[in-house]
Amino acid sequence: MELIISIFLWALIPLIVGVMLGLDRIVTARMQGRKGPSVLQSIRDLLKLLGKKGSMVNRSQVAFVYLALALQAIAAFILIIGSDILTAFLLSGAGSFMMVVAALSVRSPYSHLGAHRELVQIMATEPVVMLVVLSMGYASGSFISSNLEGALVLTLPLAVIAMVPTLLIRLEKSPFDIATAHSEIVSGPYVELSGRTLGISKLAHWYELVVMFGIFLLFFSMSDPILDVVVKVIVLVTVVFAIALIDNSTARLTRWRMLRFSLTYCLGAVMLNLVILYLINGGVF
Amino acid sequence: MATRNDELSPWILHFDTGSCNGCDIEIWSLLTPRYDIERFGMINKGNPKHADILLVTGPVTKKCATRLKTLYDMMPDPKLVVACGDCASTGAPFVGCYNVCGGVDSVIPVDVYVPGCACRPEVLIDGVVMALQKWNEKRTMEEVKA
Ligand code: SF4
Repeated sequence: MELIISIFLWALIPLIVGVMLGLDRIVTARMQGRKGPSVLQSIRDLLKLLGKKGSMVNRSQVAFVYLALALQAIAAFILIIGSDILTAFLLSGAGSFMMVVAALSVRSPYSHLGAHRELVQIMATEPVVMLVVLSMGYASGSFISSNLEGALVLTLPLAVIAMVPTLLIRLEKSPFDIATAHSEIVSGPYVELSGRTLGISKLAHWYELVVMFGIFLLFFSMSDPILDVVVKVIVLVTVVFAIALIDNSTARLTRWRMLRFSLTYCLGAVMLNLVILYLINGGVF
Repeated sequence: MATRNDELSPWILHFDTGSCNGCDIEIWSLLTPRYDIERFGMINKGNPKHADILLVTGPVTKKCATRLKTLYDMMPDPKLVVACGDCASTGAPFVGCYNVCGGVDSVIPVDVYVPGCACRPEVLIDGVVMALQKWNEKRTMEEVKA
């Protein structure tokens, strides 16, 4: 029964992420004094792109984009059925890397620039999320997400905070909208994609967001299923608001500042949390 | 009213082929809270490969003609072109100048002409909506071709 629910949820992912991004666009518009689009706008954009034939620069780019989608979708599936978080995270990382390879397989210098920046973003996020996943495993003795302890946020509060910049980077939001910086390098890795292929790459990105947000929401698991859903929805909406606020009130950083920020403060926070947890478990406190 | 997904999410590319910037300012004002075209799902994309509608301002200077043609060719089908302002529509006061080809339609096919010097933002929105109505015709033509 649970498996059927998970598969159903997995099939609904594009709808859920689309509504979340639509909500983000409305909140952003309201913060800027505008009315903003419909909450379904991101889904409409996606459907439009998937229905457009577009042009193809070369076959390998298209192949890599489809591979990225497959990897991200499998990673999201593994996370949703309550299996190994570490596998889901590593597969999703491989999927992000496929997008980099896709961007490097064409000759546009903007695409290459975007690919290099995307790599720096991967360098900034992967170690942090890796350590977060490892600390989850340490705190509850298992990497299987259905075996995790409830309310991990209470034991690993600093890890939760350290994940927020990672979510910003993955959502391509200011101050970390470095790879797709629209006013600098147009849209970076996506520059040579058009029509359906662009739609597929967007879908891959949406599944990637699910993996990141999924790991984040695992911190807020509750034993009571109804309470669990309520808490997760509240956390998600709060995070969307917070991210829109940060996006609208900060300017873009350089990529090295981003790297330094996440590898010192974010990584440092997770390590500090692990050390404290280790000392508590060892009976020092 | 627009109902299909592509009519509800037109992405725009703006290109200045030699305008006095009057029309450009009016196009940019579409993004401000007063006109907020994002409520119709329109976003300004700086990339021809992502765009559905090309907004052109200004008479086409001879230097710009090839660039305009390249941008047009890079846009994926079905695509729409809106000539914004008198200069883009006809070449207006610059017709016959030594460095000017004339209106946008002397280089690429145009779907909608928006008059005015400078064109008003309200009329621009109308122009884009009118262009969207042409979308279905274009799609049918493409299907026939295929
Ligand atoms: S129509 Fe008028 S405002 Fe627009 S580019 Fe021409 S001269 Fe400038």
